[in-house]
Amino acid sequence: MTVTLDKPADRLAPGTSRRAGGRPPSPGLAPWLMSAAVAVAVLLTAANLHGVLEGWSWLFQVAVTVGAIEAATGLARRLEWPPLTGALLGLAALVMSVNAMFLAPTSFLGVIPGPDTFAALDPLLEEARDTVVSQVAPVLVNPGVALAACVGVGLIALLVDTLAVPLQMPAISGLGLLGLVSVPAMIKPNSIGAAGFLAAAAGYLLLLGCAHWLAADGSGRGRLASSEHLRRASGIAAAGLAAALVLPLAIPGFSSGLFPEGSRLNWGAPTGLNPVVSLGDNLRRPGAFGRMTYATDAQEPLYLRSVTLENLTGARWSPSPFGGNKRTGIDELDVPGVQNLLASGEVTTTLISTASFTSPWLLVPYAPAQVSGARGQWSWDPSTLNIRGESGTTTANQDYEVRSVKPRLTRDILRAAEPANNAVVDPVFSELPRNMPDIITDTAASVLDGLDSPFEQAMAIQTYLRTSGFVYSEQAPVDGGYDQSGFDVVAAFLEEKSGYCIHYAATMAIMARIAGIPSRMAVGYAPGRPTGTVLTDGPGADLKEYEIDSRDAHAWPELFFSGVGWVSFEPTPSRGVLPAYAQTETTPGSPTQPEDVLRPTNQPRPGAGAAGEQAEPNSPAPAEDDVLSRQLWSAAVAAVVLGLLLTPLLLRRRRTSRRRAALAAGGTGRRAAVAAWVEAVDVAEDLGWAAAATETPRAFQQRLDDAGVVTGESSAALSRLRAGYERAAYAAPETPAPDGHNAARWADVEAVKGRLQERAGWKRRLAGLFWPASLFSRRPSGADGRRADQDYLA
Amino acid sequence: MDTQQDMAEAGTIRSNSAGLGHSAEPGQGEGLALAEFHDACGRIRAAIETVIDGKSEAARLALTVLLAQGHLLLEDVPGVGKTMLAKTLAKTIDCSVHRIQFTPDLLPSDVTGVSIYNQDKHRFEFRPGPVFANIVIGDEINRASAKTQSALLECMEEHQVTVDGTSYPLDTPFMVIATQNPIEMEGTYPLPEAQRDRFMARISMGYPDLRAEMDMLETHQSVSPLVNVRPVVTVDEVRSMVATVRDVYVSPAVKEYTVNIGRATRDHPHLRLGASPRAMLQLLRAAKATAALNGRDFVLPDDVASVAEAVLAHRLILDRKAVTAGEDASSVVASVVAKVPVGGESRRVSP
Repeated sequence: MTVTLDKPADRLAPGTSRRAGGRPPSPGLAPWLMSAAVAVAVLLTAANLHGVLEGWSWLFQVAVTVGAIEAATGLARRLEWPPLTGALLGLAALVMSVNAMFLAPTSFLGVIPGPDTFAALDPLLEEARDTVVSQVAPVLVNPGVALAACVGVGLIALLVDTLAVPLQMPAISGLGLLGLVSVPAMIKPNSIGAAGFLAAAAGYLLLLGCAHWLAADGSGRGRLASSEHLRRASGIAAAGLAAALVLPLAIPGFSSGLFPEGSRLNWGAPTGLNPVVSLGDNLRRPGAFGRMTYATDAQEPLYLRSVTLENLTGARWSPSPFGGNKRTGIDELDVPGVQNLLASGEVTTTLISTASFTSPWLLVPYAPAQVSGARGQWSWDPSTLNIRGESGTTTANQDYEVRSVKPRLTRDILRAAEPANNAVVDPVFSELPRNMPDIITDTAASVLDGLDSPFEQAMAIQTYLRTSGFVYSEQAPVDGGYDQSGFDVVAAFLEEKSGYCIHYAATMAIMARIAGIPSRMAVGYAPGRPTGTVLTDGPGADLKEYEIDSRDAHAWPELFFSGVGWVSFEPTPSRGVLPAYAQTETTPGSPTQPEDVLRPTNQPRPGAGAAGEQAEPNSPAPAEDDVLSRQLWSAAVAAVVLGLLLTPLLLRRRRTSRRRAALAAGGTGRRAAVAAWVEAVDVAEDLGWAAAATETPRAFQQRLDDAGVVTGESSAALSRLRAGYERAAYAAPETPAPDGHNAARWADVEAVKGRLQERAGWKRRLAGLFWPASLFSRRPSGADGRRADQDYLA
Repeated sequence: MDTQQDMAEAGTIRSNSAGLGHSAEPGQGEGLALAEFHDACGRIRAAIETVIDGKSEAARLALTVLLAQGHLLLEDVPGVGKTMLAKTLAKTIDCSVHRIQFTPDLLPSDVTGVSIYNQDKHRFEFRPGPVFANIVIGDEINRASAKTQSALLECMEEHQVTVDGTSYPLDTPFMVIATQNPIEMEGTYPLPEAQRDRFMARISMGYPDLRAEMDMLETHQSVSPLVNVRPVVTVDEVRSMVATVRDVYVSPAVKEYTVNIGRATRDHPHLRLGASPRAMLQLLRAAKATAALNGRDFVLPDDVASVAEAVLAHRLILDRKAVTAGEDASSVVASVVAKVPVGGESRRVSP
């Protein structure tokens, strides 16, 4: 390393180095100030969860949790307790505040977890999990979700606090805030937007500012350089801003806003955890991904169903609670109707290969009778035939065979169906909330006017939705939770007459319930495209293979007809396959539009690779884009991981270079001597020879000498460094500073370092490089409890 | 610690001790320059080495106590050279030396002096006792009665003798070197704890090693080598050396370290009585002398640690349980020193 170490020492004249203004607060206030800054930063960032969680009611609970944690850590710092105690106290505050808010009845004194608390915790966690699995952002805030939010944000507050204060790395604490902000950034349809970004940034800057302010209490560090500092900082900020503005233009997938959809971390696979939101996302995505294949012996391509939504509690669709009547084992789904059909031989065999599709719900054609080959634990609900993975089982990378049955339905059979008797089906399928927007009831009344037979009513609704000027659009206004299927969204849909399958299916299901027909919404995949491959499964049976991907994500209504069972309809124009029984009878003047004509699904589509009608015309090569953006994201994440790995190394390097700078700056030999010695001690610690707090410099040097760690020249170098340090640290301030060239000092440090590295094994050297122990140990501190050397030695 | 090395490191020689905030006591001269100081010390130690074989550490501590203006308690079994060390140290300095052999019937006035009626002048005259000297060797101090012991101890603390209402100041430097046999020996009156506190340091001589003992047999065979010891420093030089020690700088970090050691003894579970504030003062003084002996004009934590056992051990009173567990005061001091963090990086450093 060649660095001119001996600059003239005139830059920091004594007396000019005091900070001009901004006197820090009294030490008694400092711990509280820091805690308050952390709390405000975390809460400002957490406010972005609005939109992921419905409303603002949760923010109060989160604020209580964060406040309690910060009060606890602030108190610990005020009392000058060791940092670990502070963190534990914060953790205790987290547990106690959460207990007080959610689990008070089972706790001692309302705050301390009692023996029953864990039992009480279980349903809350289950509730939270179900909400995450089944609801669309913004989700309704039930106690489980609020608990999860409090615990999550609380832990992040604790992390930020620990990084910012005891570990003295306020800049790194931004990672905690980033983690927090990344959740809404990924989940919210339009990401967090400018306001949310600014709020989070303001919180972070506040944190940094407070930390900087408190650190700069005039303990001798030169502030002359502050203008230079400012210049450098603004330079970096400008470059960052420019990159943020230019990058979206360069990377495909970014289209608008500060954090548009492209910035969400997607790994190419639809997560599928949340059936409705992922559906909207999948459809809007420019490229196709998550390719799956299925092969079936059915004459017509199949709809693959993932889950049904029938629970209208909370004025939106969600799966009914999966628990009470679930059955485990899916080798045989023994529901009488299904088994009868199975016996009569109306069986379809389908081989499904899910590849990267990940969902807790198993993708099967309706109605599954036997499933074989699926790994993991699965259970199913007899009332819906939803199949769900237990204890973490998902559909990822599964290959399984489904034998399903489908009754042969004709229009005549359906026409004959009587209005359903409510006793036959679970009330959950026919419930309607009391207050519905007028537009829904009015539309339903006008569509159903004068029709009595359930089938005619259903057909009327479907026809109404497939015609009447409804336009299929995935770019329908996605703001304000339009990805949902609640009543307000259905009302908006009826007004706008623009939307996609979710809206069509939800509207039809709701209108069917108004007509008295039990209904539910099925979520899954529309039939895809044939690949042209034909598999042979056993003797004689040819299975035609189809491929489906994210663009085929679909939702459709299923209506219950007594004596027949659940029948699916297809109200969405231009998607899926209209079943024969549900086709409108062709009459002169039929309003059937050309796009209603079903896809010629039994032949390969022209231009097989091309997207369907819904593919955006402005993305010419979606598959390529997809690969590219996936690679970019992989690269970005790899860079982040690499950055995290390198952080200790860089921090340690920074410390070294600051000490070198202290030496290069010249100044009094005193500072340089201390910096050189401390660096030598830190180097030794990195390489496994830590100086104990109770060890004097001499004793430390003696130990290294005795152990033969330093010999000859390196021993003499260490001895010189030690002597210089002793003189600097313990001699009278009036005496002349220790003499010696700063360059020679640094050469001594290098000599010691070289010798130590020589002695240490490669493992030790690697550890010293990437996980420098000196970064995490605390030097003996002075009586004021602060690091004595933190200004220019840290 | 290598003194030569320290001398080299110290580099600059202190020439001016004014303005350091130390108020020089009246009548005490300027301190010696470090080089002269070191030279004088070297002469004293060399002279002692000619008589006492293989006990350089004890000799060094004795010199330390002399320069720190403390008193020394030499404690060991008979015949290991306690008195010889005391006499040699006294003889190397060109100063007045008195020796008091303590016996059970010794009276306080035999130590301090007595007023005698002078018939010629018709008035009482004070006849100074043996305590009026620069160096007083109190041999086998634990053989005297408690009353006599306290008379001497009073002189040690006050640096003066009061007889019949008149105070007679003692000379400077004044140092008492007391020897005593370990208290288990018969016919002794052990020093009370409070009085042991008056001695700056206690040294156990210990037996010499094989080589030193053989040398001793050789050198002491015909004539005592003590006869050949000539004074190597004058009393004025000693005064200057004491002044030098007084001006040694102690940084706040070292003060904090010293105080922390003291506090640690007070909280120590094995101790019934910890170190007193006076002990702290004496510890720091001894550390200053050690620093000066090593050729430094500032104290290092190492200096404090190196004299901690000698200065503190005899003042501590162990818990009964610790005694039965085989602990002794020295091991407790060692454990305390090993546990107290060395403070103070560079808070005093200003740009």
